[in-house]
Amino acid sequence: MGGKVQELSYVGKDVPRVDAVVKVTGKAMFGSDFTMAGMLHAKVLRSPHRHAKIVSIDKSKAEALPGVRIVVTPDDMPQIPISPLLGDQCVLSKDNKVRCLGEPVVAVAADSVEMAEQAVQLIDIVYEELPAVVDIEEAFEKSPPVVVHPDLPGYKQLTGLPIRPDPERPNVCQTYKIHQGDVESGFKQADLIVENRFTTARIQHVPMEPHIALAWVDSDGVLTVRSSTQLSYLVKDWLCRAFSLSPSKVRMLSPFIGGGFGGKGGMRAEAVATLLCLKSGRPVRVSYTREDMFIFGGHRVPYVMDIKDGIKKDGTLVAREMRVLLDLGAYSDFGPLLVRRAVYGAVGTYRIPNFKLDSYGIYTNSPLTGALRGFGCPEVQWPIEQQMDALADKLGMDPVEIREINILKDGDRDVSGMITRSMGVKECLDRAADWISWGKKEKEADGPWKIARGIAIGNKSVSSGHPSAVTVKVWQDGVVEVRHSAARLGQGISTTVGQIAAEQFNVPVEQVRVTCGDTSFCPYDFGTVASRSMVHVGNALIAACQDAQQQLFRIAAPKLGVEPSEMGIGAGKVFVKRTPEKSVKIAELFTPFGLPLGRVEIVGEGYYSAPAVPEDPETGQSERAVFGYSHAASGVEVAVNVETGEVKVLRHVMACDVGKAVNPKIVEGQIEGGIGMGIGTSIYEEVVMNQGAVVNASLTDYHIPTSLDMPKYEDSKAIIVEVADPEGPFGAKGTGEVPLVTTAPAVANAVYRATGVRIKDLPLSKEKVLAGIQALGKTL
Amino acid sequence: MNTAVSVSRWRHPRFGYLEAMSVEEACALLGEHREKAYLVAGGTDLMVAMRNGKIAPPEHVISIKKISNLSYIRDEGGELKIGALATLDDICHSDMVKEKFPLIAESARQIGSRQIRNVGTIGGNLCNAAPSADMAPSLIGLGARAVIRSTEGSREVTLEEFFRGPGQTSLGRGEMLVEIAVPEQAPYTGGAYIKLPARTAIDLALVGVACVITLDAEKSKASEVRIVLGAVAPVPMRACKAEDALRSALINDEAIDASAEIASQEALPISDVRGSAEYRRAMVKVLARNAIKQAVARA
Ligand SMILES: Cc1cc2nc3c(=O)[nH]c(=O)nc-3n(C[C@H](O)[C@H](O)[C@H](O)COP(=O)(O)OP(=O)(O)OC[C@H]3O[C@@H](n4cnc5c(N)ncnc54)[C@H](O)[C@@H]3O)c2cc1C
Repeated sequence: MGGKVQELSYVGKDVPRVDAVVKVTGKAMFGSDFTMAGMLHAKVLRSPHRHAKIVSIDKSKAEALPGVRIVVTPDDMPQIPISPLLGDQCVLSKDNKVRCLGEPVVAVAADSVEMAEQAVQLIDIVYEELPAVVDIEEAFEKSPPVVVHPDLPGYKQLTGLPIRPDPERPNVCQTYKIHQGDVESGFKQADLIVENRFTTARIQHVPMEPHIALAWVDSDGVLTVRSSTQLSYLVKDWLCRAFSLSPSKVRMLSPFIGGGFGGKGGMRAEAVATLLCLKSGRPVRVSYTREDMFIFGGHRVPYVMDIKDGIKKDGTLVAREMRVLLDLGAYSDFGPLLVRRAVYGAVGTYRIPNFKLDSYGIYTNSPLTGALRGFGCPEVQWPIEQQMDALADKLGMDPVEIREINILKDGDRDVSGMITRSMGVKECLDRAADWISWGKKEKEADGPWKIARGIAIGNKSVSSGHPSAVTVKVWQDGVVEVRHSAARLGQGISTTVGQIAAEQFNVPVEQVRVTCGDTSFCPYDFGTVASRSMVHVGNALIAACQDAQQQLFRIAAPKLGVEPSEMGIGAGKVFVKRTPEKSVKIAELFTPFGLPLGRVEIVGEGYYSAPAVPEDPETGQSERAVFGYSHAASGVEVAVNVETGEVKVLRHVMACDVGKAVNPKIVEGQIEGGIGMGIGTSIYEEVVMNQGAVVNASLTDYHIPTSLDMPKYEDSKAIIVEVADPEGPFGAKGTGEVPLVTTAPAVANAVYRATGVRIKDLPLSKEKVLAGIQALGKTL
Repeated sequence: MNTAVSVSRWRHPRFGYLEAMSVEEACALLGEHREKAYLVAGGTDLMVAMRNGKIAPPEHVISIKKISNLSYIRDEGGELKIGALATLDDICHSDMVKEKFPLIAESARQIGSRQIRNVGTIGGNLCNAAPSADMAPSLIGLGARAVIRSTEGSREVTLEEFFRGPGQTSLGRGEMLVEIAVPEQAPYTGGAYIKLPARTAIDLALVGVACVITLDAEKSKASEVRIVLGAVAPVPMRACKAEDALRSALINDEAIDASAEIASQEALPISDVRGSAEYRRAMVKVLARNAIKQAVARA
């Protein structure tokens, strides 16, 4: 598969986004723009305890309230899981127990949001509180104080994904290992060993649009759910399972989505909306408030990571050992997949002869977690990229040099057993270093502000083993209609697939129509996650275009008198390649009534699933555990105020190897967004917890960066590097997540170079930085 | 254990909405509905507090937005008079304020965002009585007075006496704030307000320090000095001992450092999600030093 190197007309060009005008003029429809006659509004009553048994629920007062149409308790529904991988979660509390603060216990639908809110207040629940565990390391123990899911061994594994709990540690629901060589002997060969512990913060995606779903049943008995999801087809599948529905009678609609970042990659608003809709027979809307988002909208998993590196004096790594603990919270959601995928962040960049990584997904009585842009890979590279600087520092080496010595080259076997191909990280590093003037003298301190640069590199893999399908319909006027099921999160997928179709059919982009967002006629897609859409939808689309063209060619064959293999297509015509003036208009391949000659429809089908080879469970070795890697490098210049601990990012360059930028402006947008989000996660963002409760469940005290926290326009630079992947469409790899990998460690490395303080726990808050500086002062 | 999650509040309370067309009418309505009513000006504090359950839902909200002639900013024989409904944006763009009381414009400019400053009023900022209210330290530093009206008549208190605790003012039943009066400043007076937010913009002060200083003609000694701390006590507070120390000393770096140190000892910070008490105390020292230095340079 993949495109050949050729002169391209549309791919690689800054084609304006197809949705730009409707968005700027306010015509684009998002979830909350849709209402229906008779629509009810839902609210849930959330658990006030970290861990408790539900003794009794009295809903009579709520039911008696005027305007309240239905009140559903856990007893009113079958205990069928809604979770993606492991059967540990139901729409409402499973097995009459709550396992974290904020989980939904009772759902209400009423004529207005206000009535639903009021009704929720009137529900009386008697709980019997149970001891809880919220500390990840306590939960990880062999004899933990609390076992969050005592029934874990009996839980259903819901997909083919191997789930391997740790029989010795009852709160561990998933483990994953990547072992290569022998780390013990590696450490013996090392001249220097550096060992550290790092943690990442619990953060929220803070999409502009909180989760929303509207569910209704039409007169044919079809359940339709319009929701802000990144996973239409998976959610459809889970709804069928949870509510025992035929896939033929469930339709998912996905309008424009106001930002996802992984947070809409799970069952969210859809479950309660469907439950209440099926119970009440009325359309029901569930609309999360910002507070709901912070409490039960899903957090990025907090990580605790131990890392030990052995290195030779000449700067070559000989061994790396990592232990990665993931605090999944009360329910596993996509955690079991995350435990596996996150670790590939530690795989795709460096050559290390002896490598051992063990990762564990751990239940605690903390709120729901899930995917967040990068699916664990940025978290795992937070320690690695600081270790590289720490090693360089101890060896008296330059941070760029130590990286160059150790990065994988094409043909190298990486620590998971895959052969490295189309490796672009060196070019990213060189170009980022060049732009930030690496090695040149930094500006003098300005009063208390110390200025220094920092650098970091990294990767994000495109997942494998999950398919996307695309169909392409050719209309009698020559318009090519692409039907795909990737979600429109603002990342521009409908624009870029339109460019690919235009390229394939040799027609202007205006002659391509892209439709998506309706499972009743757009084909299967695993989901808009894991940086996978361009590779998967793109490759499937190329196949679908070729299929559609073959269909046209077969109709054209008697008219042109040549074999389909000798035909080409362009400008609305099918022509003979050798003698292009011999052609037939696409319109002439149809009857005047629009029926293709001798066919029902011209619809090409395409399908792509990146090859996946199952790994050895003991060593994680596989020739192909992921599709491949995209790469990035960040160069930053920061100012640190040694009196207040404030950190400001003055300049930031990020170079990303995306294989091929199908639309460079869109790729730059992804990189610039990554810089902003990266600054947020580096310095400001943290969901603060107190004993399992979210303390800052609002934007007053959860700080995302503003434009004033960003470097000035001319001080921020996105660089596109294109080392083509032979298996990607036109050489493309993924772009969505890799821009979030390198900023945090680059900022931390710069703070170290400015102050001598190494911050190992995200975020680099003022207090932490100042405490570090003061501690340093005391030890000097 | 804190299990008080904010998940089960009723956040869309019903309330009556009343519009006062004059100060008299507003006071009469306040007297009539007593503690069951709140005034609303820009609503940027009140609506947030009602939604997130910080205050008990009132039965009535009395809008004062339609009262005419209460958003003035004028010079009355050297005194600056600001009507309670003047928006923060009006204040930071008033040429008169910028020229004669630049400290007030400087403080207003640091509040929220353009959108918030467009609707938020000075009266709301002060009456909301947040310990972190950004207008309070500078105005206290300048010796401002609050002009208060009720159906009974009018009275004045210094702004320093106006604040009683978080969310509490000396406004009695049926009283509203109508004006802030700022006395003319002596020659050789300079002021500064320095705010440390968690992020660069649209954020409340973790610590805010204002300093207003009047130097003698030689500019070597301070004849008058006020150092006012925000967000480190239940109310915006003067650091009186720090002021005393500076008043009696020759103005130089050592004296300023010493005064800032005393100010940080005087502060009564608490630990919360925004920052620890220790950090806040340490920051008072840094900010006070910087504010004093800037004020001296501007005097
Ligand atoms: C996003 C955001 C950012 C913010 N940033 C800042 C910031 O950086 N710094 C800062 O200090 N504040 C900030 N605020 C808080 C707020 O905007 C200001 O305090 C503003 O000045 C309040 O004015 P208002 O007119 O909106 O007050 P309102 O909300 O209308 O009223 C606030 C309180 O004062 C009472 N009140 C109002 N006027 C009178 C009167 N004349 N007499 C008696 N009582 C009265 C009301 O009853 C209410 O209790 C921010 C708020 C938001 C939403």
